[in-house]
Amino acid sequence: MHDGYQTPLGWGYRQDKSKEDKGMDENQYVVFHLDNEEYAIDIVKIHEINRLKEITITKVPRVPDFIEGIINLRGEVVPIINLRKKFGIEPRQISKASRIVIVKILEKMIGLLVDSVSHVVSFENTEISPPPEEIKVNCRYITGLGKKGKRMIFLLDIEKILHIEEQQDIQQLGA
Amino acid sequence: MDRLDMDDLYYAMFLEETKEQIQAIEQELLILEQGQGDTETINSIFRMAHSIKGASATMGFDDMTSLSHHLENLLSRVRAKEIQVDTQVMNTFFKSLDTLQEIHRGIQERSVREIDIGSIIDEIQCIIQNKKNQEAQAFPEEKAPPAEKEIEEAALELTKLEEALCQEVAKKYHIYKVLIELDKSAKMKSVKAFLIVNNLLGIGDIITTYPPDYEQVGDESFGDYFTLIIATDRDHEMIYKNINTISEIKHIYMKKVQEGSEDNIRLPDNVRLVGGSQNGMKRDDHVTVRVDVNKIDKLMNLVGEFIIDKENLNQIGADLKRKYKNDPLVQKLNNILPHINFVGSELQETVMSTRMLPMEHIFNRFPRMVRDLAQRCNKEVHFEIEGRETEIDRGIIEELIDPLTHILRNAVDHGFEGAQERLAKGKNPSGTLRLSARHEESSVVIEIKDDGKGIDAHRIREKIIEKGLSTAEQLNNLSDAEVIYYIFEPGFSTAKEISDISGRGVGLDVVKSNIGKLNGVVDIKTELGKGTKFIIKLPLTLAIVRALLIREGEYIFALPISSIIETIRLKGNEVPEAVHSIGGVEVFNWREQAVPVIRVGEYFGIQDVRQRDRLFIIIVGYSERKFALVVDKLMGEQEIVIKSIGDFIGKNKLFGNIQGISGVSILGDGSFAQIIDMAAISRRMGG
Repeated sequence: MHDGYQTPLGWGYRQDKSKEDKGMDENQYVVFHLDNEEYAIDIVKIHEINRLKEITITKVPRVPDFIEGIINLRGEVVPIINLRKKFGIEPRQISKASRIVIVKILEKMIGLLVDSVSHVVSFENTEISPPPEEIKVNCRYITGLGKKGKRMIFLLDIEKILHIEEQQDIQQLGA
Repeated sequence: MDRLDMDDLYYAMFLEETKEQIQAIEQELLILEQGQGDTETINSIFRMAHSIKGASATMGFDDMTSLSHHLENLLSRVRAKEIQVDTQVMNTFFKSLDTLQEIHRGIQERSVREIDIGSIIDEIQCIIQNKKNQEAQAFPEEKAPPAEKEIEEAALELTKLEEALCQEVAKKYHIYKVLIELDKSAKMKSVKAFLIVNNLLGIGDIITTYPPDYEQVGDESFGDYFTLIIATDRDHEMIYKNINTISEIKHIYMKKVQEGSEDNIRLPDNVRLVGGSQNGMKRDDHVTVRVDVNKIDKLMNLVGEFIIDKENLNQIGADLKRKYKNDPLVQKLNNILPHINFVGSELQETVMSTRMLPMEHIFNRFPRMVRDLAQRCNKEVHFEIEGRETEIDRGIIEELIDPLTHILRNAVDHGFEGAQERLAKGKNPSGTLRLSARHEESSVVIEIKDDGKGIDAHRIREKIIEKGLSTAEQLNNLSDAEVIYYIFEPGFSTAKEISDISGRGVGLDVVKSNIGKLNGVVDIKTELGKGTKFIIKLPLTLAIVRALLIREGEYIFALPISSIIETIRLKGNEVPEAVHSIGGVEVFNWREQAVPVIRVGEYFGIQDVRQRDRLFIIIVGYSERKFALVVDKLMGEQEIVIKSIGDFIGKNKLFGNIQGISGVSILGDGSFAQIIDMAAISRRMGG
């Protein structure tokens, strides 16, 4: 969905639709890192990616552990999820490579704190396989496995990450 | 209303709003289907369907109105738990939504293609009908409307009652009695009537209609005639045109029953204006420009950003002055700053004032509503309005319509006794209902006061248990004053039967939700046998307030200045003298009053790392209660721009159900201060 996209009266709707179709054929994903694993999010869900250099994260009292805080993104309040904590991976100091991936879900912007962001990747449909059973049970937000040569990339469904009842989470994603 | 003449601005606004609502309904439906939905979900869908109905009726999109009307019908059954949500019902919901979306698209593309709403409406009717067949006829029979084929002159004569009603209308208006004959085959007659009335309200005032509760009457008992009396300064041509925009109308009969004159404006006898200008109906002669609301909102946001930068700049100016005291450039900067501050506050004030509207914008709609209601309930009510000139932010005023409507309705419907009962109690047989608004520092206070029977806390308790809203044990811990606030819970109604007057009751819960959204506070004061007073306190504006900044550990909190009574500094050894513990509760001895203590750090679960040799106590007033906030460090006053984080707070939301923070504010360095929510804190302290 192209949120905030104002369709002019009349023909805007169709244009919007065609964009969506295009996105689906290409299957482009943004790849980021947590610990030693690579994860990917559908590029159409991503609003922007920010360095932490100029961003102050303000803590909010009494929120769940995996909420790193909130940031001021050009006047808008954006909550930040620490994906390491969310996935039950040992937290680590924010480094130069750390990034905040801003996704837009249901008109709301949400930031994901990740170790680093590397590149954009395109997957053919044949390169995506469903996740193994163990992962499916433990971790519903992994929707598939993308393969590029020897590399394996976990494809994330970002909406599902935000479902609070999933807090039990996976402990480690051993490959 | 002519569709071609439709103002593009309204058109765009309508499309935008409706689109949002349709999308929101879809989300809520999904939640409902997953079985996660609670009553609030249904309430919220209901509210949105209702506003789509209203908006589309105003714009004249009959299909949308009619479909959302039916959807609303179905929802009200679901809410009343008369209909269980199963797959069939869900499918129907989604199908209706798809159809609404299709209609919306059609409107947006300005296409003329017909969209079939008949089948989906049939489907909805079918579900409701199935239900109906299982139970006794729920609605009392309506009296048959005039059945004679030939419309005689007599039908357009005023009855005694109508004449009495017209007596109360200002003499400057023409009064017409209009009889509308609908096509025999016309479906959804009640919606047609609703549309007609809605359209006519644009050019005049509807005095009465027959059937009076036309919205509730089903097709089978509606008959073909719909009668109304309208007071207007337009001529019959206008009325005719206006009504004729609705389809499937066979004939319109009209008779002028009063010739308007330019006499002094006289208000209905049961409405008395207190204070303010007597001729509130007269328009001002200022030259005005109509501006897109979005532009003003954007301007307001920009001013907000500017204020933040301004505060930042002042900070830098002060820092520089300390560092390079004699530098001429720094001196120059510090000479400019006061002017920037001045321009900033002027700018803010001016932009804010463009958003201000007098209360009469919404108050004016109430006298008629109260009168109609009183008539239907067979009660005599004197309705007084005070302070219609009080100005408040337009964003706030819009959110006030529903809460005020419901409180007033509730007062007339449930609050007042019948005339006999009042006489027996030694009261004036006619009750007094008073709606007032006034400024109080940086707030607007709205009061709705009746001299009816008051709220019986005992009955409320019974009702809470009966409705399963709480358990007897839990209730035993609550005082009567606290129990009364349950009337704001969704699904609560103390009327023995749900009357058609309180509508299908998008009930008093709208009061709590809307006022809460506005950072406002509702108080109820009631005395059995004497009456009830609702007090709504609202901020003047949603956007910018002056606040005291507080540091507690690594957090910064903001406390609106308006709620602060006094700040006191205590040295370490003074603390035990001033703060006492009574039965596990800490109180502060403030001017011979024992004020409950709230340690802000503790309240928000902040690690206390330092041994303090001094601390600050802030005496805060919240409605009639006072609290002593204990804080670590005060950081001074400044203007803050409030940003809502309500989207992330609540059960199953990202931040969880955190309490005590009503929003955040961006500080000069780009970080945030958390705005302390005194309402939540007061509740937790047993208020």
